[in-house]
Amino acid sequence: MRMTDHALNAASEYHFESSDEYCAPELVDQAAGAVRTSHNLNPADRAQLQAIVDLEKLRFAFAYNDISLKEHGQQIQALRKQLIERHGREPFDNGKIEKAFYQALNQAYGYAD
Amino acid sequence: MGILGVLLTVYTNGKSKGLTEFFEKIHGHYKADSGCSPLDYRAGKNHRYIFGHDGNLWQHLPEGYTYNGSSVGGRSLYSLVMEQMRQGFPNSSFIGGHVKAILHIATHYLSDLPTKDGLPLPFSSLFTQWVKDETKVSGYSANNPLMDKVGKEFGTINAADIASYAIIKTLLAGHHWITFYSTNASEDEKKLHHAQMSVIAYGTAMIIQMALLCSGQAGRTGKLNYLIAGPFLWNAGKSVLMTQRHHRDLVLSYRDSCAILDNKSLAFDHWVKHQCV
Repeated sequence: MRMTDHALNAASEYHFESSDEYCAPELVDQAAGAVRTSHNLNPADRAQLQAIVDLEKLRFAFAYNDISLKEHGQQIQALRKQLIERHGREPFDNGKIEKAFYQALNQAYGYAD
Repeated sequence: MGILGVLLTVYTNGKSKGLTEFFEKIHGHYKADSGCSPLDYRAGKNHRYIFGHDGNLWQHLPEGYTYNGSSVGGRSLYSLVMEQMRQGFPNSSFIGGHVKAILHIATHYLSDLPTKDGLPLPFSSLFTQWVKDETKVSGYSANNPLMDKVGKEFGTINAADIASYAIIKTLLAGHHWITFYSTNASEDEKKLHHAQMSVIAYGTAMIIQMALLCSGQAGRTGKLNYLIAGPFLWNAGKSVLMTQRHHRDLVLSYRDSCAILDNKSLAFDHWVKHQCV
């Protein structure tokens, strides 16, 4: 299964865990930048934000490159495991970093709710 | 009263951020330090429709589901919360642990209530479907066809809904007390009047909110408020049944009256006495 560009479905709210779409890396970086400037981040927050950015970029690469689903899944789990081992945190924990990032990303796509 | 209920809905929605922060502070007292609440083990858009927010404490994540490196699949939501409470409050007694778990869940729901998504309909998670999906961090995709169909406009309850119901109910009670203060109306009449007033008040609020929903105006205020719709239907049914009963009693009394008039052996005075007594 390959992903579709979220820009084609920008009227709908996007989240990595609930969408089968990918986002443009520039907008992912823009959203992460907005979170970095608007929040006072501790090392765990920074690592979580970076993990989310990396996951989004992995998905973009999966959409465009010849990576198998199994390999893609392994890459995702490796990133997740690294964050859990180093900071005891999941990339998606319904916390402030995740919420702020996806709010900024959805806004970058023009989504308003 | 109905209009005031809707205005309070608008006001409460406007104060949602402050209310959320207030309830989150209370929730903090019943949270273990070991990461996020088990109620939030599912992330993503509409994650509350999927898991943990509909009052179904027996719901469980699929087998093999992991969170923070631990296996959390196949266990009830309540057992996951209890485990976190035991870790976070190791000195709690058996009963104290359960009380903390219940307060953890209740305050978590309270902090989610003022948000735009509110809480899904009770036990709607029975419709949740999980599918293995390696493209997701959790390893699973999930959806809830029932909640996807009804959406947040028809399938959620939030703090504004509760506030609207509370103000209308209070105003109705006050109005009822003033109306019947120092009168000697029968209990039946009082009950019928209260039911009819409730139909008007709840009905007004419901119609305004549905009209706002249809017109796409007023954002989150335009929705079906089940806490208003329920009492509206209940009181409408009650009014119809009470009116029917009154009508039946009246017809029976007419029959009795006519029977006395038709009875040639009884004098007209007897009928007058019957009617007056």
